[in-house]
Amino acid sequence: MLARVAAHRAWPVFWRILVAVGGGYGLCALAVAVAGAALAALGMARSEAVVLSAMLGFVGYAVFLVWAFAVRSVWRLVIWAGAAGAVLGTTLWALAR
Amino acid sequence: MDNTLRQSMGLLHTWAGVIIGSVLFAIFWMGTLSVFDREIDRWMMPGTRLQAPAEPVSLDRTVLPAVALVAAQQPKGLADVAQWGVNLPTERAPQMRFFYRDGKGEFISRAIDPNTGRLIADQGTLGGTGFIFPFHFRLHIKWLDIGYWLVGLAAMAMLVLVISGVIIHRKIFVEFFTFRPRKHTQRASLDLHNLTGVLGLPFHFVIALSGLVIFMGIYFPQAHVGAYGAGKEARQSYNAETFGRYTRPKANAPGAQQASLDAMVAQAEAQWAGGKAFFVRVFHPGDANSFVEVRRSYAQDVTMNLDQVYFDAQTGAVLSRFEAAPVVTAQRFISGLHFIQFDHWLLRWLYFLAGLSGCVMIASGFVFWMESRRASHIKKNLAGVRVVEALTIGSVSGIVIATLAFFIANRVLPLGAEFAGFQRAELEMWVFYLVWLATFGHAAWRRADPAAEFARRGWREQCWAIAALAVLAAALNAATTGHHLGYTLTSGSRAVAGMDLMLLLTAGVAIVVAQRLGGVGDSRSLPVTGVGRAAGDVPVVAARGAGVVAASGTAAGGDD
Repeated sequence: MLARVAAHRAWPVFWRILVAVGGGYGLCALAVAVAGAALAALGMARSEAVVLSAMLGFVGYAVFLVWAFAVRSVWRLVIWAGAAGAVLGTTLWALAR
Repeated sequence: MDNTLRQSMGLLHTWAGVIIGSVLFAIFWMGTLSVFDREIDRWMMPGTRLQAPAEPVSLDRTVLPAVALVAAQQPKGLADVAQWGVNLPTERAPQMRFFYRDGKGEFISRAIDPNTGRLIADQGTLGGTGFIFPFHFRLHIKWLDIGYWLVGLAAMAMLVLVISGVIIHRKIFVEFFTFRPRKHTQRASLDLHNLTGVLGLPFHFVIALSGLVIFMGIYFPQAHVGAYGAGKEARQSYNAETFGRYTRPKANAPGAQQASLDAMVAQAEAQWAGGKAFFVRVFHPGDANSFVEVRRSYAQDVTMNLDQVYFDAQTGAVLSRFEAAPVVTAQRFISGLHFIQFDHWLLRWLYFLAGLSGCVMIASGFVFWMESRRASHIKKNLAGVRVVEALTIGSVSGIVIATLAFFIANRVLPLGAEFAGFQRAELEMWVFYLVWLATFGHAAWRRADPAAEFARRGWREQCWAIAALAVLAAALNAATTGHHLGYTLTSGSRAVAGMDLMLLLTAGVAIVVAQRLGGVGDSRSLPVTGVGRAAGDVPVVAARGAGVVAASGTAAGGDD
């Protein structure tokens, strides 16, 4: 009984940590690559654009982590992260093609 | 999860702290020592305790003979030396670090006496710059770069801990002035955690973020693919445009005589308007396509400039010149805030103190975690506190003991020592790791008895071990090198004197702590009475059953 309750409570926590840490990193890595290309397209030197977006990537990751642990529902987290990942992934795929 | 931001941040702060705290402490401890890595080098490598030369060193006269000597030992002479390089002497590192890559691709590092050009015998140690400093950023786990990633994860956790720590606080300002060491352990450890956390807040935030920014190329290896495309060539052009690495292939034909390196250094320094060179490297020595890299010193600025000039090794003509663009310069400034490669003794000491206060913050966070749930864990027969307590003791006092054992091994092992196929430098590292492991075993063995009490035996005994080992290390330095404090203080060997003094200070602090932990039955430190007595700490008492929430509740501002 106790174990079942623990398991019932553990899964949402597990998913939250997985999506926050792993998914958050993936999202930030995608966002960094996309932002680098976007800034370069806006006229910034390519190397400068990449370095700037990489540095901001860490700040973005920290903000995402805090949000991921603050948002009430794990499902909301999964849906938002999934949607953002799909948009960023498609953009990067189109850019790098 | 929870209905308020503060509560969920409390949970995040508590659990991220407990899970990652041990690694974070190791990183903070090693980083703090790395502030004085070159001074530790002088202590651990007595052969390099030299006077920095007053005059600028002639590379042509001091290093080229050493290169010829090294080349003569290779089967095919100079053609077998793929590249060699040298660091020019500085106040903190008076020896010239000389390295070369031989025909088999092996990297060999030696030191040259800048006053005589003599190759200094291998000191058989990785020292502060080779063991302690890399431990700080990659934990010496090279497989798959796991060490870098673990440290990166810890740094991200640190950032999140800092942010969540701020969110859960109600009275930041009051905590500048609040420390009640005579109250029970739980109260005092939270005060100490808040005090060090709040005072060091800007430092902790900047140090964690800058540590990540330094290794952006490792943590975001694909950052360039949007702007440059994927593949090896895209990466190379990104690296060349950003960091300016010039290269050209070997001609596989013998080159003419090497042009004067001193002239190249002088020419580079003239272009840098007052900047000094600190590093010179020759690629493909002896080849017709040989070229020379000269890099500018960081001594004058926070920014770790990327200024570099490349020369043709035969003619001395400039092949390429590089200076970083603005954003990259900003990245190098942020890196410089972390690396402190500039010359500034006051700031260096402040970094050291801030690092130590970070260590205290992490350790006191652990103690607070344990003391605030010890009673409930005992009641519910949970092992949590006991496990965390042993891990904490091993992570905190244990790593200090292991570091001291590393220093002692360095002074006891004779030069050229070998055991079971391990070289001397590896033996020193083994001593470190085995002693560290033993401290965890000791902590698990000497656990709290009765369980309701702070594990004072484990802490106390490890404190006594720290005191004894620190004094022994200083004594062994005097015995094996003759450089006792009387000599080093009067002869101006500040690095060695400083290291010995810090060892003695460590011993003194450890003795004071051990004595304070001495009195058994001292009700001040009995957390059970503590919790009961602190009627004002409503969150603790009210939420004790909820366990987790208890800690976050108090951390959220249990100040009465």
